[in-house]
Amino acid sequence: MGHSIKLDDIATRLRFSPENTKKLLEIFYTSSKTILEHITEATKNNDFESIHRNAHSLKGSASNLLFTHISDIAKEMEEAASKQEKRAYKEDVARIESLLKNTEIV
Amino acid sequence: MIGIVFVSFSIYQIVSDSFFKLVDLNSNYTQQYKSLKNIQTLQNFIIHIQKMRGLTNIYLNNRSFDFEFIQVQQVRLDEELNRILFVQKLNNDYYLENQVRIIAKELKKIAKLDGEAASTKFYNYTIVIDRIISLINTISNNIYLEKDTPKATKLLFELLLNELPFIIENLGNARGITAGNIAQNAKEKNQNISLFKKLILQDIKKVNLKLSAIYRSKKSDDMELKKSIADLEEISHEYLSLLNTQQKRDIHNSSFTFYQYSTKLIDQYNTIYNNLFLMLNKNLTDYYDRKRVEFKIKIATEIVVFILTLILFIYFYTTSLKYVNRIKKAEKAKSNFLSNMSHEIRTPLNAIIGFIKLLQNTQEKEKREHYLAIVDTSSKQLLSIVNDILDFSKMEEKKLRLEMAPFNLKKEMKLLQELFDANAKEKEIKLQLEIANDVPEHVISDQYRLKQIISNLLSNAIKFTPKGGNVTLKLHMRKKLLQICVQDTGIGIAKEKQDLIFKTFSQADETTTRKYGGTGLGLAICNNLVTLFGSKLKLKSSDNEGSKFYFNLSIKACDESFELEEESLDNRTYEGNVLVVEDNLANQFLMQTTLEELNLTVGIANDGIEAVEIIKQNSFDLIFMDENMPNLNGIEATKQIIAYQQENNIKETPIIALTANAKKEAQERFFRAGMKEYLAKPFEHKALHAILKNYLKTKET
Repeated sequence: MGHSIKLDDIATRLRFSPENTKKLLEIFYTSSKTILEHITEATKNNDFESIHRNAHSLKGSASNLLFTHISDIAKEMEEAASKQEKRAYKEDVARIESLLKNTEIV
Repeated sequence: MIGIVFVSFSIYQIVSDSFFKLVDLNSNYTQQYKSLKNIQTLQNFIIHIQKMRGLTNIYLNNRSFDFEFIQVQQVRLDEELNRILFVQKLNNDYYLENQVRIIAKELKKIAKLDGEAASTKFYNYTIVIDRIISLINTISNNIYLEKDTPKATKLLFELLLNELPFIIENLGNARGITAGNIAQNAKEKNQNISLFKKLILQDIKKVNLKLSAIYRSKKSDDMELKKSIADLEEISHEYLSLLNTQQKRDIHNSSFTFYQYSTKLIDQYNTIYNNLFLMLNKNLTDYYDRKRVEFKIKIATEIVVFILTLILFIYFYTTSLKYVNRIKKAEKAKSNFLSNMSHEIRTPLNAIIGFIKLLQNTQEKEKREHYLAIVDTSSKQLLSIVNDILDFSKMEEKKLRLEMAPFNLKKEMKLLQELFDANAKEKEIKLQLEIANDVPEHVISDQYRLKQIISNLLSNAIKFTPKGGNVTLKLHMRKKLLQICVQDTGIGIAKEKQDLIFKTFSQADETTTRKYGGTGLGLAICNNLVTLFGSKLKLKSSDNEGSKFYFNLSIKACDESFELEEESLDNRTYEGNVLVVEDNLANQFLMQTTLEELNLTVGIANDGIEAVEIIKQNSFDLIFMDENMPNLNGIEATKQIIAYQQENNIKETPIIALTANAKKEAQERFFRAGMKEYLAKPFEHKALHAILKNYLKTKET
């Protein structure tokens, strides 16, 4: 049950060369991991503001790369955090992590 | 209904009440007039009897007095009596006639009695006079003056019916007695004369007072009244002076002279009486005339009000009936629509649910593909129905707006034809597209809504045309307007039903819905959309003879430059130094790579604080500022940068907001902070190029 994303689609959309696109993906993976760590930390401290900011950022970068499944979850987190709602943010983080692992780029 | 009956009944009451009051008024007036006439006649008659009484007294006290005077007076009396009786007969007043007959009899009796003493005769005459006076009183007691009779009239009435007759009789009586005493050369004659003088003085005062009161309360200047008062005063003074100077001579010696002078005075009172009576009659007539007119106006107004109220009632009643009917019809149509709708919605939804279940239970690739295709179609169908409903409710709330943009008309119409070709082929229907030569290729309009209208018309045409029929989409210019029409050779629409189908929730009839399916909203939405375009959807059709739906658009032609824009962007590059302020690494890389590919040099700041520092040390041509950053957000950083540059007289670097938030409040915040524009994330290349073109030098290759 994995997602697959076409590299060509991303490249066309961004008007990047394939090399740049690959590089972008790598950077995306790294920065997303960092963001998820920030969110986990913020969840422990009930820092809704931080969760909101980070989720917003993740949402944006994920949607640039057509990772709509990830950006959707990020959007949910962002909206919940803006209303200071209690939510299982940990689970969201876990889902996104698994998606990052299981998405294949073709 | 009850309201109308109640109101009309009460108005009838009011009107008939006024009407009867008017009738009463008239009869009251007639009666009053008659009674007053009678009173006046009787009062004048009293004068004659008084004269008779006086003269007789003189004669009986001094037989040397010329009897001829008395005879003449007797004749006059009889004549007057007969006249009265005659008039009474004409008036049919039996009571009065009777009374007058009795008086006549008594007068005859008194005239005949010869051997009577003077005083007895005098007394008998007085009794008759009293009888007449009480008759007058009886009549006057039955006279009813309306409450709103003017004060002057009321005073006049009192004066004439009470005081003047009283004064006249007193004077007459005094005259008679005094004349008799003078004739007799009685000892009391001086006393009598003095008494007579006193009476006169008293009476003049009284009458004057009363007349002045009347004069005051009457607003108009009455010459008659003034003259009467003046005359009375004149004669009274004349008489008094006469009495004073000639006291010792003529009057003391001649009873007849006294009598004559006195009579002159009394006659003057009588003249005044008659004049005032005329005045009273005139007043009363005026009053009644006025009242009559008032009543007539009142009745007329009431009738008018009644008619108006009736009209209003009927109007409101029928309008409310119509309104209630309309509401009932609308509700019925709505509930019909809802029941149709739930069927239309449930059918594809059930298919989706059902086939998903099947999908879950099968792994066969062929079967799965088949089921997925059905789910796909059903969900699209469901979406279209839901869109119809949403569109329609947006229209009802008048929230729908056209978005004008240039597009290739011919290309889009061809696409539509291709889209419906499959549908048409299924029923072996020939679908044709005819575009006249003078139709412009590129136009500015709302292509999505236009296509929505045409799609709806095409799908209806195909739906309602039997196998082997024809459907044509025709575009041609008519005067300066573009006419778009969809013609089919289908079942047609009867003239009676044509109005109906444009209204919502109805197709030509319910059997059509059941046979052909559909929400019934399509044409209503089409109609509303066409109206939004400023046109009117028209229909030419009759039963079983096909239908032609058409409308005329005023459309603006344009050139193909908009198409080129898309392509030319690819070759464009810019010159300059750009700072990207963004905390997300991937986004940084994205922006940097994009801008570098456009030949720009790019600097990166990880948050607001870094951005401010970098600006202090370097100069950039343009800054892209992300909104949400840690440590210092985009808005604050912008404010600081602008402040710094202003303080140090550095040329302002334009700052562009990078934001996922396109709401109006957000936009205002950016502009207030000093940002020049905003670029929505994820950004469109067109939008990026528009901004770069605005603030940087272009280089086209």
